[in-house]
Amino acid sequence: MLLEIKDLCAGINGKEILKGVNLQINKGEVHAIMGPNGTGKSTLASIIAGRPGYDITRGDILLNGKSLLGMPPEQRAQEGIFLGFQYPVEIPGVSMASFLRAAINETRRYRGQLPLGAVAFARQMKEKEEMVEIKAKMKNRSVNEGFSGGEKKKNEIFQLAMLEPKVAILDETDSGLDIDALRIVAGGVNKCKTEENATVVITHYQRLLEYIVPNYVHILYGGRVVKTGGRELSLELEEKGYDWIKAQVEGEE
Amino acid sequence: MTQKKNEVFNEVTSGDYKYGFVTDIETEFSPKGISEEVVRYISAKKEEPEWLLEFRLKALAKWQTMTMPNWAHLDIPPIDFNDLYYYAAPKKKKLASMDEVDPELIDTFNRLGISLNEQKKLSGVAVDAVIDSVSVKTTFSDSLAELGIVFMSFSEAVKKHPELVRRFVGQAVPSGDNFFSTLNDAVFSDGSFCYIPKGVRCPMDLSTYFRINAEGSGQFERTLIVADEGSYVSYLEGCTAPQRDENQLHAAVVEIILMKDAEVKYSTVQNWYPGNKEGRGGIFNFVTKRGLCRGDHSKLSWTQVETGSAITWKYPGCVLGGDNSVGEFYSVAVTNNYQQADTGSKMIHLGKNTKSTIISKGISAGKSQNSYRGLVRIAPRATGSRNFSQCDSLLLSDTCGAHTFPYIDTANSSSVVEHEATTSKISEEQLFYCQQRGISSETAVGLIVNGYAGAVLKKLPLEFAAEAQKLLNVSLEGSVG
Amino acid sequence: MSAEKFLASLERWFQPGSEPPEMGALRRAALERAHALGVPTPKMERWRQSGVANVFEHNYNLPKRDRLPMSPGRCQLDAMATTAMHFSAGKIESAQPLQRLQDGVIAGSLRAAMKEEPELVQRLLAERGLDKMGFFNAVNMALFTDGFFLHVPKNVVLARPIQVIHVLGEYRDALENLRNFVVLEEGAEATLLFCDHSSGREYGFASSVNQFQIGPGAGFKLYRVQNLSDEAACFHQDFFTQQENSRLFSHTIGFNGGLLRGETHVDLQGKGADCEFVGLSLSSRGQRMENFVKVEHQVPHCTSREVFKNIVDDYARGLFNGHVLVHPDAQKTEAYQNNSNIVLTDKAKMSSRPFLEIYADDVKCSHGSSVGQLDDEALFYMRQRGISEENARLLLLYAFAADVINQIDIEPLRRQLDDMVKKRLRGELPSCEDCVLSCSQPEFEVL
Repeated sequence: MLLEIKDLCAGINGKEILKGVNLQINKGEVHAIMGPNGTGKSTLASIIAGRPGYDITRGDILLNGKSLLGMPPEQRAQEGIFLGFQYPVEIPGVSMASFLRAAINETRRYRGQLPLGAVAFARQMKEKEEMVEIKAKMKNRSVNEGFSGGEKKKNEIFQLAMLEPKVAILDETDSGLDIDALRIVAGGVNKCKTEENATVVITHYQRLLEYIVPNYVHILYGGRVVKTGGRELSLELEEKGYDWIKAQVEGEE
Repeated sequence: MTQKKNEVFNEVTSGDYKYGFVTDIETEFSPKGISEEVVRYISAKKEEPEWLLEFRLKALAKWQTMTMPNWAHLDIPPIDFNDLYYYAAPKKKKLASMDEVDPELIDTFNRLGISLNEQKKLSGVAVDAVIDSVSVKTTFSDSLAELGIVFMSFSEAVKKHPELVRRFVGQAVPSGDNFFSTLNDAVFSDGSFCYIPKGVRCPMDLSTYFRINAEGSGQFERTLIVADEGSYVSYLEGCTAPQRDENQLHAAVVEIILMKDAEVKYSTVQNWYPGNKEGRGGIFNFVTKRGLCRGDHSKLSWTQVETGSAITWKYPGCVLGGDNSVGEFYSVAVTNNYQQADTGSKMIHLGKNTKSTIISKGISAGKSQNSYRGLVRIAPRATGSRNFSQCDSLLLSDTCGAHTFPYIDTANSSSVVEHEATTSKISEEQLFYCQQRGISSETAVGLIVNGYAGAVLKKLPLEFAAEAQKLLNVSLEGSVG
Repeated sequence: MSAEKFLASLERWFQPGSEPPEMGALRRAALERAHALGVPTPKMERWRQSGVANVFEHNYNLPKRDRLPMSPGRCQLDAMATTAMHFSAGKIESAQPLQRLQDGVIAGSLRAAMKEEPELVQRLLAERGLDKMGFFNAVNMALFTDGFFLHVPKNVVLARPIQVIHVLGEYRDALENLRNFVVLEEGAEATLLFCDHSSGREYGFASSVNQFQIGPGAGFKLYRVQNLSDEAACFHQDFFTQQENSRLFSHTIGFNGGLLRGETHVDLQGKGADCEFVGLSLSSRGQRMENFVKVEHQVPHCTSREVFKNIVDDYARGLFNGHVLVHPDAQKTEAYQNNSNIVLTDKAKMSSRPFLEIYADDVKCSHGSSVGQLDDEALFYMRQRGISEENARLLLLYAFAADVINQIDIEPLRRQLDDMVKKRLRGELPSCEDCVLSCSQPEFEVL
């Protein structure tokens, strides 16, 4: 198993958000996590990536059997966790080039590899640009600064291609994209898929799943995974909305 | 409610002073000037215990070595501290009962819109009415006492609750803190005392109404509020004075002590006589107000609407001692004609994760000078603290001045302090927009100024907006719709 | 030594020498002025939080003439065609102290200019009335030994920037007073680079007073780089007067120094004048860096912008004291003032006083001041991509500083200062032991 989340309970400022989340993700799989607003989808992504400020009260997150919980965010990234941010932050003054080189070379060092020289870096960049069909905005641009919403999301996918993680978690990557941008972003994600890695897509809508086809769909509600199914579950949601899930869960309680 | 507040504000900014009348009552004065003799006279008049007399005498000795501060952006004419009366009290007439108040005074407060009759009183507000150096009546004292709340004049509290007064006086504003507070330490007359016991939410707003009446006197009141653990109180303060050609001195001290989880809201509508259009007369308002958030998670909020006084020197502050304590300061300061104001706040962060907010809106018109002056200090151990300050100035004439003097000192790496300020005149775009919709320019200015100050005005307690409006409308009955 | 001793020593240090009598009288009057004012103390509003007191703790020696001159070219800015002038031990190091450059431009030693252009210099010296002089200005007037002089005639555009390098002497407890004059006549344009360094590890105090007259329509750029030892104190006072439609850009970077204090006074005297001030102070260990900027809008339609940044590390102290004063008739003024700071430890301190004093109503004035941490969200984003927290912080600190560096429009200077900032943030740039501007540039993976 690549990524395993076991009975994860977590919260922020004393408020419990996740109440026992379980997930198993294998190599080569695509998982979709869906659910209404405010049910903990983004919290789950943040906690896997190690965003400071959350309290983990129970459970564990294992990548290749190794617990991530004690690791700082950069180590989790170096281990192979990539989080595609819902709102990628602008970092004025830090150029895309120095940012990405630092990211790649620190990760390489962690893995015992030699740093990538300027020429090799440029070559890899070119390859990946062609692969995901996204032109990197590197020249004299600061990280995400002044990028449109679509450009920011494309930039996330470009970084995904460059960093080659084991698990890519894409948090609402489809929000704010028009249909053309959505197709490009989804295309990029698909090109990054291999037999060795896994993709977790967090989304509200089934629309993205037409392009990135999931093996499993999980519905997160009230801080727990309340239903897991195949692709058809997302279609059912599209048709019936979330109310029936809510009714079902509350009925059980 | 918003509409009412707007009216209040319009009155404040544009109207003539409506509380300039003098009540013709016999007044008893201390000897003129300041000396040990006068301090002893005041203390004796109030039948004070020895420790309080000592407190006064110590302050007097200290004050005599001090000089008046000159750092404020104020042009203060020389004040002869020996040419005024430090104690003035309406002479007691022979009345049927001890509790009865001179009808003349009741009438005075009625004209100011303050009813001292509990039955006729607006529900929800208890009042301590202070004229010159004495408190004439405190309403609802008895019903509050049932909850353990002490609300009475300072002089009465010294007699009835000496242990409380002695324990807390000088805690927030230490003896000898500054020139004016030290003067107050020596000669303070009356004011209000308030103690909210553990866990009690005061069911009504408490208020003190200050009135200067006597000629040639100053007012040196002292207010002490103690909010014990987990308690809550909203406190209101109002003030007026007769219209006179001479300047009168008002040097008050307000101290607030907050224990763990306590919350205090202190709101002021300061409407002392501002002087006439040529700058003659008016009150010199030199006030020290400070709250000490001693306990963790305590919260103190100052809201002030400053419209009166010839000169205002006032920096309500919060010493955030307890961890996670919160200080707030919301201010609208209006100056017109020859008024001068140098006012702002002090936020001293000592505890961890303390937070403070300063929102100040200055409006200057005529030939007035209006300054914001504020200090934000983050001590080394106040880690994780935050301050946000927004200080805006609006200029309504080309002969006035609007100034901003922030002082920011930070001494740790995990705190964040942000200060922003803008100075501008009323937007011509906005004015034109209003005019195009048929609103006269005068009304439009009123509307825009109200909107500008709205963020602060909405912090006033609801009761107070009504109260303030009544205060402002005393002589305008029937003429304001 | 004490303040009293310092005052008493002024008399001993005062050696007018073989100057014209008017000059001697001016110096004498300035000396009296200094005595009348007394030394500044942190109790004075202007000097609150300042480290000025330390300046009076030393037993000073005036520059001696028999000192070895600094070897020329040590602070040459590579690949930049500047005209360089060197000052050390309080005087110019040059066989030809006053040079006649292109189109009647005169540049070089003030002392030489006093001989060759006595009327012009005398007029300039007397320009700012004694009654306005502060203490260090008056002391400087009484004691200055030399300085840089530049006169650019009407409509002449100076082809190459002039680099003025001042190296505080190697002798112990040096006290050096320099006075610099720059006059740009109508339509003239010039760029100047002041480099302040110290050569030794001994304590020394360099004080310079700089007067800049910027004529109608003239354009002036001033860059200043300061990199002195932790023992050195360096005060500079800039006085700018700007006539109509003139433009001023002033850019200051403090890399190192025991006590660096910069005072800037700008008088916007002509309509349409525009000025911009950019500053960056990087202090660590026990260093103190202070900036005082007063911009006076005297007439309508002028614009001013100030952006000052501080990074305060270890137990260093930073101070920003800004003051925009808009006079009653200065309508249509636009003034902007910003001070952003990062405090890196719980022992470092930053004080910020951004003042606005406004007497005209049709103005747009704003200011902002912030002291704070690095952006948490940006830190997390970088760490999520595998960048260590330490390097992420370094990148963000660099970004904070680079914003200032990127405003330098002399490319070789920008490159070198950019490199110096990176070194400074990595702790690899100590004070100037040799020449800071010819540092090598090793490869580094983050910055």
